Amino acid sequence: MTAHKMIAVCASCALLLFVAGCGDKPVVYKQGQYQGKPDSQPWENTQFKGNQVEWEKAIKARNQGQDEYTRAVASAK
Amino acid sequence: MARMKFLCDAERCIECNGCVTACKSEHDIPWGVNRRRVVTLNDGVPGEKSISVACMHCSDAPCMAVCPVDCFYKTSEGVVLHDKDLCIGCGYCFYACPFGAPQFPQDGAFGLRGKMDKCTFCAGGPEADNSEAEYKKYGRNRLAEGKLPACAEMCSTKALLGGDADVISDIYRNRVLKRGKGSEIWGWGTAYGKPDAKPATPPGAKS
Repeated sequence: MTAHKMIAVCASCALLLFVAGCGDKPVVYKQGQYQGKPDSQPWENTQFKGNQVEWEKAIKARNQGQDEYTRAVASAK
Repeated sequence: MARMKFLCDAERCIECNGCVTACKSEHDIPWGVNRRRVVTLNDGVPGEKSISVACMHCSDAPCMAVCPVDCFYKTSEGVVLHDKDLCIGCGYCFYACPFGAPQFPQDGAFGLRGKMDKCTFCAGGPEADNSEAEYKKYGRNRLAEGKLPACAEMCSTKALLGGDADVISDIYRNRVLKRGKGSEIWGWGTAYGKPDAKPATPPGAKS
């Protein structure tokens, strides 16, 4: 390989490396938009099998369980 | 489903720290991180009031607004959660939060400040529900099991209510209307006897 060819190859390699930098996209955060992994709904699992109504029923029962006034009435019956 | 909220009844809270213990135990939280704590006003003075505080899952959360990497998100139930893989531990959310909810593990050398940790309303995080990764990063996902937060469900006096905002507001409203004051208060009769009942020993009698 002649000196001219060597210089041409080196120059083209350098040019390629230089141009490759232009393809790098900078990470820009979109203000106010969640950037992380998406989360699933609490009823989308093996226990509730996507049944939202069933999940809401379970939560509602737990919600009402915190009211001892209604709990006391229910247990007195 | 409405928004999930916490409501603490200062008239009932007895500063037992059961909610703090339940939270720590449920999520295996390291030493120095307190997702929930009990604050007492006028501590030691008669008439002191205690209130259990954690992330209040604000409708317009300031932590979400200030986060430089936008790692916060809100679920369809109104629970404010964050992605720990994105969090850079800058602490902006701590400065923005009016409740001091964001916590930073500081167990490393050289004043290390780790990724932010806070109350998740027992709803885990963006990892797969009830997976090991979710438990390690965010703790147990009770909501996905159809349960409410451990702190509220463990509260012995039911001072701390957690759940659907409409429902717990109704419970609280009903309680305030019915409980009255002094001897009318729920449980007073059991503890001290009925106010209208005759005392066991007539006044002036020798015991």
